Amino acid sequence: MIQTFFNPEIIAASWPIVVAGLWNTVRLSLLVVPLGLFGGLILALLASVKNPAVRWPLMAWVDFFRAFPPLVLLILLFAGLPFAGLELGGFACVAIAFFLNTGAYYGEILRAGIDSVPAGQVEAARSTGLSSLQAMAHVVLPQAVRNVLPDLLSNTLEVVKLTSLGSVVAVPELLYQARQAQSITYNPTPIVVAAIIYFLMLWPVVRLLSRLENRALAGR
Amino acid sequence: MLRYLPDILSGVVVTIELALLIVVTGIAAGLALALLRSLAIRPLNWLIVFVVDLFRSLPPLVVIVLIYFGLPSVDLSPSGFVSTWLSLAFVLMAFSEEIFWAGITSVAKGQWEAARSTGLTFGQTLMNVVLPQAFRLTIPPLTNRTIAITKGTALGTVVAVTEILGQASSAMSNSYNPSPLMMGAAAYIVLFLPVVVAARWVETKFAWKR
Repeated sequence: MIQTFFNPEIIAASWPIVVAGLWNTVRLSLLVVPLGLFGGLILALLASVKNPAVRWPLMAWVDFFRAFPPLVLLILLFAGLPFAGLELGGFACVAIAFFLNTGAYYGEILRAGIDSVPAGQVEAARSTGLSSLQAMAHVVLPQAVRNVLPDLLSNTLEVVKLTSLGSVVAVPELLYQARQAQSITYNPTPIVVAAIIYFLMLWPVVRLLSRLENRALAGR
Repeated sequence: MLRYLPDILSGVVVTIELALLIVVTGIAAGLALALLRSLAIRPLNWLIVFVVDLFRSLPPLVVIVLIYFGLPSVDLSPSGFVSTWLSLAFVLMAFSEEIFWAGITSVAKGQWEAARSTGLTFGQTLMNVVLPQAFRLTIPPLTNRTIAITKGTALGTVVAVTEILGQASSAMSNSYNPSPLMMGAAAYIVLFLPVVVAARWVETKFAWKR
């Protein structure tokens, strides 16, 4: 059992490959999380315009990406676009897919946050002479973000986990590197090591989230 | 393009089968764990929390790959279908346990005490007093999670499950044409968009009136 799943020689041999993957996962996450947040912020700001001509297409956009599996989106960009003469690398495809997909999720969360700030706050801010943009940036958004912080964190956790999809389009992140190491060594140890790394990296976030959620419930 | 329609349709059937299996087993297992946890047996609760945390922190694709490529080394060879089903059911189990548990703990302690003092047993209190209130609270997060995880059936492609994406990809490489992929994408929208819209409706319907 230990020879199969925790083989020390294979751990030693595959360690550099797996660690290189870990750093790529970190880098990829540092790229796609801000990208998704940025996309979400655009959507949430657009949604705060109470015009039906903006709201309905926006809702359709968000629902579309809630219904569309991220892997399908990624494959569509990676394998479909070359037929249209546009060949993007795996890395660029991941970035675009995440911008669209996770942007929709972040957008829903931020919109709920903005809705949670009472209208009186905006009115008060406007009456002191702030422009509507200033009121949004200095009064509404800081409170909105604080109100939905657990949801933002929970979605960020999902986004980091989702970077493992990069392995399907040959982005050398943690899972991809581990599978490479596995196919060279004919042994599942590298994948077990990668799973342990994911767990150790994300467990603190999961614990923190559980606490935040419990506190939110206790406060009702 | 029409030549590949039967392939895509057979993929749709596999996706639906897989999705239903995951939803039913995952949520049932999650509810069972949450009920076990309400018995408040210390070591058992630690184990439940650990398992839940484990499947909340591991990416679903990693679990699938681990089961599919790892288990054959101990002479168990689950098919891609079974690997995907088990993995996503475990993940859904973890998330739904967490949600059910939050729902159960949100019911005030006084309700338990009041129900028990009227002579209801532990089980009766749980079934008739606590769970009906807990469910209402759990529906919005549960529908969201369930949709997000069921969409993950597309991950089965990686371990050669012949679901929609798998069928569409192989049809695309056979025909050197992206049309099957577009058909597959459309199939996902046809399949999941009504669920997303229905979920929105259910969320507003079950929301607490404040």
